[in-house]
Amino acid sequence: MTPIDPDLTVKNLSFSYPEYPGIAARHLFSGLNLELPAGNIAVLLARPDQGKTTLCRLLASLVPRFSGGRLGGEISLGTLQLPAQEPYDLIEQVGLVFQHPGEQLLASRCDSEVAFPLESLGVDRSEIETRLAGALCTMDLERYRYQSPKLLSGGEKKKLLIACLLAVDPRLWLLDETLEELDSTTKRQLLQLLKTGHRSTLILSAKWHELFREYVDRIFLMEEGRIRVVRETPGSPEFQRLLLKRGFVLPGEGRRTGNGSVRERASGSAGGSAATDRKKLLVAEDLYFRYPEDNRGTEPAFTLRIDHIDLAAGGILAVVGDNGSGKSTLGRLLCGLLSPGAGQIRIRRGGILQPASSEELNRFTGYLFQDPDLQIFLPTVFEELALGLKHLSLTADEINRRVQETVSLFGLPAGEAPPSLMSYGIRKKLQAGVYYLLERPLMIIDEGDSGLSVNDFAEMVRIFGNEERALIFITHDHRLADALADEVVELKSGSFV
Amino acid sequence: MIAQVYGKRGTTVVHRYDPRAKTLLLLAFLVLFFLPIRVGYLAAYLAVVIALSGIFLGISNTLRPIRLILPILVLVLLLTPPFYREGSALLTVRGVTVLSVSGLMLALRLIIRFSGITMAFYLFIGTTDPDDLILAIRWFRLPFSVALVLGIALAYIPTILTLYDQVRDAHRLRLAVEGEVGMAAARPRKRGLFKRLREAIPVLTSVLILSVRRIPTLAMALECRGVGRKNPRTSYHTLKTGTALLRDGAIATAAVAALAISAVLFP
Repeated sequence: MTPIDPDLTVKNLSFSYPEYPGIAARHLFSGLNLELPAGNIAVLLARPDQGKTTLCRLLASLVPRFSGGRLGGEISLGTLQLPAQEPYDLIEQVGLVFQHPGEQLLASRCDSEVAFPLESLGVDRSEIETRLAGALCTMDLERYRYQSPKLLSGGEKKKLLIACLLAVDPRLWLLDETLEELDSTTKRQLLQLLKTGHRSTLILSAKWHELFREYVDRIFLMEEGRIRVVRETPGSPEFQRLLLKRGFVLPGEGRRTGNGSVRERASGSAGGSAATDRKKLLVAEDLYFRYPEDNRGTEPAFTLRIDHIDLAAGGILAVVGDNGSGKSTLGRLLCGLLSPGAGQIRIRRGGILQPASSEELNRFTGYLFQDPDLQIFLPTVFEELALGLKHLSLTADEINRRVQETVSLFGLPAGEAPPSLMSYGIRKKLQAGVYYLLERPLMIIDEGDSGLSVNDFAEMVRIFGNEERALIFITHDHRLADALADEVVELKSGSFV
Repeated sequence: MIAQVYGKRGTTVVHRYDPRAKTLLLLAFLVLFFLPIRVGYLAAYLAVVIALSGIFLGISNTLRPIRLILPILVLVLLLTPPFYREGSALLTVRGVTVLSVSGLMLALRLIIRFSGITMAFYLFIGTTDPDDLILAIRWFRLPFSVALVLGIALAYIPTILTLYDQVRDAHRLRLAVEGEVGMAAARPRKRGLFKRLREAIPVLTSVLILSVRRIPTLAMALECRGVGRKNPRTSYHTLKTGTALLRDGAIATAAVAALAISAVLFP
């Protein structure tokens, strides 16, 4: 068999971020090697904080240009030496989807967003029109064509960024945790799309998706700043053991097939099966919510209708559903950030279930946003964790003790570490730590598994899922939902199915 | 305030009006508000701008900027007359003129000028598509980088508003404790303006930190989209051409001429 010449070659790569006052230089890679032949799809698995985002940015020539730092080794795409190029000159060669989509969207309309890089390339207007129409159609976003990208859900934003890449169709696609927050249909569609043509794709992920088995040509594991190629066949027991050992799947995962199951219950409802009224922490009935007319583009205003949902102490409910199906809207209703147009939410207070106002729901429910940065503001981990405790009139010693306990429980860096220099996954853990300390009876984790390994997320669920609290987690991963939750409900177009 | 209207597509005749012609009209009104003409006439021009805003952006959207600048206008009204006491006295205390006609007229002139400029810009920004605005700036031969910076700066206003809402929600949840809601921003409408401002400081600080943190990623995002390339840039959006441009240009020219004549006839 003739060896295929690699398209992307990374040889002996080393990189360390610069020193900052009081913060030592962070060495991420040393002697990292990677080869990716043209037309191949590779997945690079690494736990949070191992440098996935930095590697993407190195390949796109954004680092060290924007961050500073010391780079060594060689990165080439064909004959092109990538670090010597300016990022804007590379857009036909290298395309990157950021892990956090909100940071990459620039335009005021979805069609303008897709057209933007084509305009930069000097493509004719008629060709722009053809390419953007095709890209929006492929990603099923035509209905949002004239809408602001800011109004899209997290998954839809990622779809829009993929459409931008599709319109340009660079030679190398870098997808930084892009499959997270995408529903299973879109994931499959994307992988199918990547399989066609001669583009090379590097998908960076903190967890193993079963779809990789069908589409991925190469699997890399990145640990301690080095990469090794996985030689085992994805379906083999050795491979499953490896994934399990490294924390990319949960025990028992991987042997099943299909997309997980939604357990039986009355249509349009969630919960209500085993829990008695005595144990219930929250009951919501006949919930109705409608966004203002102009919030969803040319489509009718998005409407959420929930007949019944209840949660008992110790219960774990997983909410799954396609992008834009209303999962986050449900979460925001249950924590009082949105007020229902009709229906009632009751919470347990003084031993009985009573109707709750928005402010009462704010105090009752902890809600971990999809984007951890919206909930992390302070300069150090300690200050971040201690902020909520200061409002509980605790002594300094007690605050210190609880913070240290939380740092240890969530595996966070030392209390003086600056969150702004931590990885996305670690920031998610910090966000969870903040709410853990607040001891809310109900926790809602909105796509918390994005950016975390399954082991880390399972640990988070275990920490929050104690007998006195109830937990809802929102995810696109049916298998994860099936493995971790007592009950799984699916939302479709604003209703439980 | 701009966040409520900027980037929102409208279908009115002013929304569809050519942005280059609209820019000319904006400049004409700005010049007009600085001309030394009678306060009554200036007030009439201000009334025209407010009426246009009310018609094409809606009453509630029109009241929004007025409410926002109201404290400044009140300060101008209170602080200007004591420093300009020449001319006929309107109010004297122990023989000393406290309020004179010229002082009052100057205060009114400043108020109308400030309100006029604010409302003219508000109407322009609120009825102009962001992409059209960038194209119009480029049409006036300003470089793309200038147009892009202005476009991003304006587009960032609603982004900051969204960010503010999200951060306020985050604070509201995180600092909600039994007996009170830690962040008063949770119930802003029930509190006084100054209390709301004071209590919004932690949220504003967080928004500022997040905005600053986004600067390098914004720069990365721009370069990933090809900003900085040397080749000529094309445009997906287009401005009006031919008869439509001539019609809008003719209307703008006629309106500017009418404003100039009125300024001469009614000085």
